Amino acid sequence: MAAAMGIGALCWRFSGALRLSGVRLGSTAAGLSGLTLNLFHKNLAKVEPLHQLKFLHTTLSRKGLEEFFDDPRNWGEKTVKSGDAWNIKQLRGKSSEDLHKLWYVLLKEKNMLLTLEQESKRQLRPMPSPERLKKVEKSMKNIDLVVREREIALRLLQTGHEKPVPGEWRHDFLGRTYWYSYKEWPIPWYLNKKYKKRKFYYLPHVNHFIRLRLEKSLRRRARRQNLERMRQKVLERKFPHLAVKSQSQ
Amino acid sequence: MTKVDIKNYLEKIYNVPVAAVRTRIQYGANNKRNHRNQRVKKPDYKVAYVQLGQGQTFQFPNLFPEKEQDTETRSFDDFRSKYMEREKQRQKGDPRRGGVPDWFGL
Repeated sequence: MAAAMGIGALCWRFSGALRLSGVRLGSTAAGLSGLTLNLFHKNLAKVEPLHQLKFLHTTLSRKGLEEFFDDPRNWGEKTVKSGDAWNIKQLRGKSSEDLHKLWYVLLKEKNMLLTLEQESKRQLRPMPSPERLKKVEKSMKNIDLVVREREIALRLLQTGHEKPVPGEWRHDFLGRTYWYSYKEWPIPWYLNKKYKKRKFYYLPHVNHFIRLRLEKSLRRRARRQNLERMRQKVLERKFPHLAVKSQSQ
Repeated sequence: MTKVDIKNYLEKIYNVPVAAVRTRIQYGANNKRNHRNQRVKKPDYKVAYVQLGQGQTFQFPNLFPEKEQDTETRSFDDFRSKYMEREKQRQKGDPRRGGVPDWFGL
């Protein structure tokens, strides 16, 4: 129910954004701005696609600053219901245009939540349902990941390179290996004093410290794996019927 | 975000006509000290004063209006007030001795 309401709210804002983008294009094409002309264009935009979008019938909020605040019915409530964050798998199925619009919807939602947070700090009151902020941030991060994936795929097909900037693995003076991406310089490297001071090699006395670092990382990994195994054992002891189920599956 | 950035942001994303934007950077104080006597800084932040265009006015709304308490909170408040009264009664001394605490005298 909460998920449906959340998705419903998202859909409402989403369709609102669709209309908004259509309206702005129209007004910029005309070359005039003003609230009256916007209204006129809004009416025009509604007439055409009605036969295509039967189930979308929303009105845009005229004053933009209202979008910095939640629905007035939610003011003063202790908790506000909201749906889950957008999953990467769900976002991978959406087109780039949809992701672009969703990004701006989420951005406005984030601005609204941040104003609410600041106002609650000023009024010394608890913010109603702060988990909404985390969900929005997670969704935006997922959109970013999906867009990055698509960029890499496109670049691979077009050029054959994964990364936008070429680079290579190099050592630093402490023996650590890291990815060095090439930078653009107006002069070659053998004339670059600052670059020549940087050391991309390590001296033999560093080997001892590399060994110590390796041992430390191995110990940490072993400790982490041990902890996980102990936790699993504790759970199995507490819920033996569940352990038997996993083994059989 | 610069003044131009803020103007474009509000105009393009929120469709709000902006006449002028002025900005300043608010310095966050560095006077508080933690348990190790190290100074703890509050972060600096930028404040933007936006003048709306086309004769628009804006009043910051009250986001926490007083609402009717539901039965749960009301009963909890009743329970809490009754508990506090009981605690105060217990702490008061014997009324036959004039409300003096018990650890006085015999």
